[in-house]
Amino acid sequence: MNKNTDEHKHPDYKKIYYSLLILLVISIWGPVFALNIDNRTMLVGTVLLTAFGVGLIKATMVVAWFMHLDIEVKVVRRLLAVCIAFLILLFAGVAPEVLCFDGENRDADPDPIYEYPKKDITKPAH
Amino acid sequence: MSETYHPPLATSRKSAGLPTARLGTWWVVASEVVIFGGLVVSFVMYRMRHGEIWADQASHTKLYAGALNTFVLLTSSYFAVCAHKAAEVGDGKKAANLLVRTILLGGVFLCVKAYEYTSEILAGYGPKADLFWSFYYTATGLHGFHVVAGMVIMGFVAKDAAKGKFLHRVECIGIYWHFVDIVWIFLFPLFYIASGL
Amino acid sequence: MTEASEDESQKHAQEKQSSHKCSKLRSWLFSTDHKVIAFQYIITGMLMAVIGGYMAYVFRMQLAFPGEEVPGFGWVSPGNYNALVTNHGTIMIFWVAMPILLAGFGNFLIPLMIGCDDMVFPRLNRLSFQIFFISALVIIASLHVAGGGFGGAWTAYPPLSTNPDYNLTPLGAVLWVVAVALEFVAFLIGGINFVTTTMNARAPGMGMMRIPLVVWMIVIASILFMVSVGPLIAGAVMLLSDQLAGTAFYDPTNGGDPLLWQHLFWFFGHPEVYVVLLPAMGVVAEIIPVFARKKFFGYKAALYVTIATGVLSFFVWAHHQFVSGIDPRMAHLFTVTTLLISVPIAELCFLFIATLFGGSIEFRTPMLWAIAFLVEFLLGGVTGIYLGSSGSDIYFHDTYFVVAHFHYTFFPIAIIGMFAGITHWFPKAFGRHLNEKWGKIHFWGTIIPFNFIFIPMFFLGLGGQHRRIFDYRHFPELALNDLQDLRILATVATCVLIAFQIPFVINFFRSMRKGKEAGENPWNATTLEWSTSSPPPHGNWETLPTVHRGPYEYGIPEVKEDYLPQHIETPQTSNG
Repeated sequence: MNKNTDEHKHPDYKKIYYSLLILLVISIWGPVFALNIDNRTMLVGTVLLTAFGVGLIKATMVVAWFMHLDIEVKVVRRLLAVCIAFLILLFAGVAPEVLCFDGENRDADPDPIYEYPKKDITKPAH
Repeated sequence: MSETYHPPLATSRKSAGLPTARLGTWWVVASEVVIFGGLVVSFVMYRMRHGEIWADQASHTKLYAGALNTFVLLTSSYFAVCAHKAAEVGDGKKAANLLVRTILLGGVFLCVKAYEYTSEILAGYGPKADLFWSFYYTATGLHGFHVVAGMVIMGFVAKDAAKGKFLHRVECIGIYWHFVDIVWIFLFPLFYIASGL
Repeated sequence: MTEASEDESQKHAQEKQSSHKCSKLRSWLFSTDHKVIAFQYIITGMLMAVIGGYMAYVFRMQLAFPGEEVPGFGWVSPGNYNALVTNHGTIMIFWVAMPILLAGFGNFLIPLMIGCDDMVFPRLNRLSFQIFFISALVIIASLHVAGGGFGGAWTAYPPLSTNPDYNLTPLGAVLWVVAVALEFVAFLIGGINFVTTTMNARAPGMGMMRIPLVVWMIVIASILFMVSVGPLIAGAVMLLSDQLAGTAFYDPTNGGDPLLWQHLFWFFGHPEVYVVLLPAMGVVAEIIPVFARKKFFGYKAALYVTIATGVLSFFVWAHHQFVSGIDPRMAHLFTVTTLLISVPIAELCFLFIATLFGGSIEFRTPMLWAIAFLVEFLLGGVTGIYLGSSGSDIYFHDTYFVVAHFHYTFFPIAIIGMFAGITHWFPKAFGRHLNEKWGKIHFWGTIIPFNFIFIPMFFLGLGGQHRRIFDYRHFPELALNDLQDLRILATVATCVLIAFQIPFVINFFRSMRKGKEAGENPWNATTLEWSTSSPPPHGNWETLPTVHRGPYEYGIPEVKEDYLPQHIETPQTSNG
């Protein structure tokens, strides 16, 4: 046996591919459909769920079965988890600063710094 | 120089339980995760900060071009994993053939991207039009650069695989390609379909 | 011998024969051998240290004797001063500390200490050095372009770094970012190589808990670097596009936020301190057991506190931004984490001291450097407490107290750690000893002036002397004679320190040819690199070693010698 490969069982890639395509259709259709929802919370929920939730499922499927992380040695999973954990830390530490530009402890600026609209945003979407 | 080159013994050892080439590829992927992660984290922060105003900007991206590109990359990933399956049973010819199809789909992806860029810029949404568009061009540009890099490397791997050499590399370039695909899976909702927020 | 290892040794012999077919210089320049690449890194790093030291000399002279011509440079303009200070910092961290400690020692030690013939990706290793070398050329070039070198401090905060109207160096600033980005790429490639080698290419029997501490620490440092630098690479891409394309990532008037850069920079910048600290700590951890003739006290504890330090180092970055207008509640949080990180590092220092305790200590040059590292680094660590507390930092921020503090950490790391490592492994690398007497002269000539440079700076900082000021005569409250005397003292000490590096250079090159012959194992040490000939041949060993025990087996009663190397299978008992 060649030292540089280690053979393993293959899942049915065609099946995975088709289910990925179905998920893709859901993730496109969901947010478009959501535009008709009046309730803001429902709208945001639907968009987040269909766009990012389904995206997460797609990514997990690709990682697990195309990149074979499901049968990979554990250390690989750990190193990827560490990278993602530190990214979450970065977001948690920076977001309070960058997101909040008119907090209680700052000089409140009555005019928003960022003035919109610069462009004609009433133009219809493509 | 490359003819006289023999990999050292160290390369063939497997203390961690997986082939060295694949372990190295995983580390590359891990370091790429933080590079794209840093960009995405920055974008998400600004996106939340500028809320509805950026949503209007986001509605000007071409949803169906993005969807087509997702489809193209998913299909190319499917070919890449089939190439890996073929390489594992020693069928270098078939693996090379599938890799070439992957490269071609990467080319299709870039063409769609080029069409998008052109029409956005002609419509007045260039990189300086707004911070949203700066992020759009930076993130998709960096991703596109990775697509090009993947295509070039895959070309070399396919050339060797056709002769039946270095078949273990097919799996490594596959892992990298799937990673590029996953980045797109996240960029697509971020820039294209979450405009309702 | 098992079948697998027979197969290994056959391949090993084949590989060794196939090497060295082209001319000598060419084969040295384009070698894939990890030892050659290590020398290339160390030599490039030392040359860059000469440049960085020269810069320090010029701006120290300007501060001590403002308005006068500096011998060897001429009249210093404000723009020159800014460029010198900025590039002194950048070069000393990215082109001296990183290549020598991480890449140089990492390349030399990892394959030798874990018992394999080379890095797992030798050609990537060479590529990594080549990219690093180009980045060094780019940073030097950036000093000579129109407008001069970048002068916006090594932190490159926008808008100073993005807007040429402010920094007045349209080309220098861009080249600076390009050089730093290239350097990051080089060390990413190098780091992947280190980590993969250590994970996958260990000698048979080399379990996780038998890896020498320096290898552990270099690997942890590489991982820290890899995880922290990613967001900064993304940030650097944004900075470049702000500079070149005029986008507004960091421009608040168009929706960006300059704080984002500060966060991305320090999210990398603080772990970076530990990226260079850990290899230096590892070098000291190797030297102390050898010259105290005692087993390392608490190997596992040292490993775990190193990992704890690495993880904690990601939680402290905003203590650099206490006066940047961040939320005071955030500042409290980061004060707590900053003070917390001193716990594992102090623990590591205690473990070193506990190793020394009761040992039979021999004060050879490497040991002197190792102990000096502990003492001086402790001072740097203790002064950090004041700066880590968000209250007192408001007063200390951007004064010379900060300058003195981080030089008390970086000088022990980069200079003392480097000399400790070089004096310790010189016999292995060249097969000859360094001259002990000149080594000690160099040691004392470096350590004493070092304290005379930076202790006055603590007082200057307490006196309110702000950093980044070109000529203190413009500020009446800072132009007092008392303060000026301290500045002159620091400058004279700088010149003395630089002058005392000459004996080292002479000693280094003389001993390479004419030093006393060192055998395989001049220090009677136990780790694997001492089991091959000095200098090690291409491929490192005739037959690759097998490991039978942990790395620090000194003073075992049943054994005849006072040490038991890792590769020896059955110990010679004192009875037999």
